Amino acid sequence: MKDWIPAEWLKDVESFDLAACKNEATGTKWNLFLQHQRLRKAARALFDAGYFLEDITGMDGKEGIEVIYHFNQYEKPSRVTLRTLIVHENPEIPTISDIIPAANWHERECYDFFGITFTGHPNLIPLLLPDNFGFHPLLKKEDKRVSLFDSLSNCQTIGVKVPCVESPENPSDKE
Amino acid sequence: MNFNLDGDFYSRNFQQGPTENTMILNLGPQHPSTHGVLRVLVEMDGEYILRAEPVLGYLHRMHEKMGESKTYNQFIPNMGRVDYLHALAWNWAYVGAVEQLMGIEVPERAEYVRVISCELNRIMSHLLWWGAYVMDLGGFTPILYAFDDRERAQDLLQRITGSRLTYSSFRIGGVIQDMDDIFLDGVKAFCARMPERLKMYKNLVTDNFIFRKRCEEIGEIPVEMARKYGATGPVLRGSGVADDVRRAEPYSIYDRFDFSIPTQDTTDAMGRYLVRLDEITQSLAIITQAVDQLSEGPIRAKVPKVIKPPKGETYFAVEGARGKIGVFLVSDGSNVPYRIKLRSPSLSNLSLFSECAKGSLLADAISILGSLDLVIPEIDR
Repeated sequence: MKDWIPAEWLKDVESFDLAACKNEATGTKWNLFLQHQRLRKAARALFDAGYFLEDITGMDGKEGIEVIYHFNQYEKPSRVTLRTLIVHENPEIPTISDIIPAANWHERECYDFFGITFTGHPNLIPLLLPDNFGFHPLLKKEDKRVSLFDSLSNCQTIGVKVPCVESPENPSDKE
Repeated sequence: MNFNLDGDFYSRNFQQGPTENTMILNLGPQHPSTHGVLRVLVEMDGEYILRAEPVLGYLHRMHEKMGESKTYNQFIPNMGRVDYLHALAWNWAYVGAVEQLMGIEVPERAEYVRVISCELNRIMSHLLWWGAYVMDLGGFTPILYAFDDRERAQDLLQRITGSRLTYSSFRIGGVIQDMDDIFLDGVKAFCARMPERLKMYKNLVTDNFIFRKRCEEIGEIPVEMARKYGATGPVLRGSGVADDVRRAEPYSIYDRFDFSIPTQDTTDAMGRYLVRLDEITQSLAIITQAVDQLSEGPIRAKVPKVIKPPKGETYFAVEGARGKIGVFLVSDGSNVPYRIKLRSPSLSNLSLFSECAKGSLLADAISILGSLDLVIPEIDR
């Protein structure tokens, strides 16, 4: 299978799910669901593979707040989306701003809008909202939240669980 | 009267503790060279910048929250106000995202109307940038020439959009109004006139010795720095990467036109300047081809009165005058978007300013800011 996300970085990252998306319907080629501790590794691997960070955003849902990282490559469309989930009670996630400086402002924006604390961020102060704003406008009321899995209807879950072994096989060979 | 000289939250955060031999300078938010309300805190050693930090949010309107509380059609006027200089690209990004989510096929004539009006709008945006940038660097006359041409394009767009600045003429499934012969004749005349004007621009400004001294080898952005900060658009192309959404992820009918993607390898402010001027030529070429290929047909697809996209999400990107505009849209099946994220190119482009301006003269930092082509409402959204 061509157009696979770079296999050489995928083997460094253990995701608990991988979804292929209809590119013409979702604009995204690959959705990668990650655990928090794998996030920095995945961002580093994508960045080293020549990707750049388009944006970081959040989405409030029943299961928690989903943090969404959009990566893309110059000169060819291959959007890769990293997704992690954090619980409402403890919205904390490691920063990637030391790996990719572009994340600095996007993380501050998420801090404004969702109250997500990016641990290790060098300058986590409000970016767009005033410093004494007091609440996070994009958090939804409990009865307004819907399941985060609803939005993934155009994606077909492949569910590759890449094991952390010494020499993992190239996933593109498996296809 | 007591003045609080401690500064506000951001300046206290910027200047932690007393400084020796350096001065903290607050540039903006009301400063002519920031084109709106951008505020930059800079620490200066003499005339040189040690570090700089833009402070944003003075024009923040929370479009993303508004998107979650308005129906799909009601949100369209917002898009014309995110970036007032290239409003139609934002229009396109939003309606394109909804159309992609619902699988709506846009009639061919409507696509041509979109291409022609969007490219005209891009030329207008670049013209205003050109005048304003030269004005930042001390040349007052060129902006008046730029506005002469801009007015002509505005008169044309007014005919098919009904407004002169905050266009919101795209609709889900098409456009609001068709082009008539008067508009098309006007476009042809505009396209015929502009090459002469661009020659005059070159003689007047581009070849000017003083101007070149203010741009050349100033604000160099290597490709690696651009990628680190996610820069797109002319800022990236000025660093030598031929990346353009119209070519990379062709949307609409852009694959039918023959146009090149101008790049410059100098990576400095002059490179970005030349890229934008070349883009005007390329946009004119696209418009000329589009007018030639035009055929009759409807301008609105059949769409339901109440827009209710199926559950799902989509990311739709278009090429704006400042770079990649992206709309990430999530629908929960109701008539109101569940989540709408606006990716603004100016925000990413500005975020590299701190690193780029480090060690440069303050006067050069103004040149760098201008060469990034910032539109503050788009940064703050």
